[in-house]
Amino acid sequence: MTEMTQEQLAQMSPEQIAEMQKQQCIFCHIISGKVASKKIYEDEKCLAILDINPANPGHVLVLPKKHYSIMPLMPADEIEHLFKTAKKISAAQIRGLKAEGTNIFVANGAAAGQKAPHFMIHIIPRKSGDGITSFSLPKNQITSEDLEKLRLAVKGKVNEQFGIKDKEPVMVDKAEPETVETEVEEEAKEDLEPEGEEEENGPKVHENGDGHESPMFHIPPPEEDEEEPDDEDAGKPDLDTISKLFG
Amino acid sequence: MACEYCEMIQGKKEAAKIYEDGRVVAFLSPQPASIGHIVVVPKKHLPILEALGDDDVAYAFSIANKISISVFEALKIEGTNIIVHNGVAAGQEEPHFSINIVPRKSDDGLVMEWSPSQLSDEEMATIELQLKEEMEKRQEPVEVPVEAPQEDAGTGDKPAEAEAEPAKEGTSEEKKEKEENYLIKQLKRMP
Repeated sequence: MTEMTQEQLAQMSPEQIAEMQKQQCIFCHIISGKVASKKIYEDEKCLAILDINPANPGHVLVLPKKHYSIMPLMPADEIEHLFKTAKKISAAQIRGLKAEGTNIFVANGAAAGQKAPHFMIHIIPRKSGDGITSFSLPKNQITSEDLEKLRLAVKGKVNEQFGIKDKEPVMVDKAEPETVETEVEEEAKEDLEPEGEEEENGPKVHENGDGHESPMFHIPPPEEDEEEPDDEDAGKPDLDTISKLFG
Repeated sequence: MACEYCEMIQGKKEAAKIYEDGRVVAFLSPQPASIGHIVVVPKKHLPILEALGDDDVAYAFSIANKISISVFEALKIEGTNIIVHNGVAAGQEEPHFSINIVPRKSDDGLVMEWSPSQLSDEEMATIELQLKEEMEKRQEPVEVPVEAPQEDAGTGDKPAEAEAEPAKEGTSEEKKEKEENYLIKQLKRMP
C-alpha cells in the first residue's frame, strides 16, 4: 500500500480500498491463520495475541476479526465486545502474570502512533518500577478561559454526535453565545442539523423550560486556534479520509 | 471521601463537562496532555477496571468512542489516543477509573512509543500458556459450552488440558467474587 498515491486511493471505491487493505494487512493474515501468532483468546468477533514487540512481557493485542483501520469506523457492538474482552485480559494479566496494574492503549491514526492499519487494543501488564514511561501523560497548564472555549467547541460536536438538543445548563451562562458567529458554525449546522428552525440564522438562544437561557449550539469562539473559519473542511473531517491516511 | 473525580461529577469541584448522562461524565482535563484532552469517568466511584461490570466497561468505551469522533470533528486533529491507567503501577493517580482521550497531531511532540522487551521463545511460550489458562477460566459458560468441540469458531487450537477449566469455573458466584476481591486488593493501592 505504501506505493499508492493519495490520488490513486481517491479513485478507488471504499470497497476496493477495504479489500486492498485487508489483503495487505498483516493482522488480517494473522487472523486468517496465514501468519503464525501466539493466540491467547479467540471468539467469533475478536482475536487476542501476544505482541511480538512487547512493552512488557505479556503485552496483548486485541483485534477485531473484521478489518477496521480505526475505532471511529467500528460499529458500537464490536467496540463494546472488544473492550469487554480487554477487561478479561487485563484481569488475566493481573492474576496469571502477577501484574500490579495494566495500561489499555489505543492509537487512532498515524499521528497517534498507530503502526498498522488494523484497529487494535493494547493491554500492557505493569509492575511498579518497570521503567515504562510511554503512557504517562504530560500535564500542561491551561487557563480556565481557554478551557471554556474548548469546552464550547467540543460540546457542540458532542451534542451533534449524541443527538442532544442542548439541555445542559452547566456553566453555559458564562459563554456569550449571542455575540459569536462563525462560518464554521453555520457550515456545521447545514451538514449536521437538517431539521429545523435554526438552520439559517446562525447561533440562536433557546429558552429552556426553567427559563434558563442556553445556546442551541455551542459555538467555537472566533479567535480559537483550532478552528479556522475560512477553512472549508474545518468542521467536518471525513472519517474515511482519516482511515486513508494509513498505508 | 476525597475523590477529585467524584467531586467534579457532583459539581463540588469545577469541571469543564462536555458530556453527561446517567452513567458517565466526560470533561476536559484541567491539566491536558494535549489540547482537547478529555477524561471519561463512570459516575459510580469504581477504582479500577476490574471493579466495573462488563456493561459499565462496554458503555464507558462506546461513549469514549463517540466523544473521540466528536473531537475529531471539533478540533483539527489527526488522531486520538485512548489510554487507561489501571492501578498505581500503571500510572493511575486518582482512585477512580477513567478513560483518557488524547487528541493527537503529528507535530505535537508527544511520544508514546515503547522500546520492545526482548523475550526468548521459551518466555513467550510460557506467558502464552499462563494467559491462555487464565482466559479459559474467564470464559462465561454461556459463551463456551463446557464440552466445547474443537471445531467451534475460534477454539481450534486450544490445548487439550484447557477443556476442563470452564466446568470448574462456572460453578460458583462466590469464587468469582473472591477473585474480584483479590484483583481489587492487588490494585487498590491508591495514592
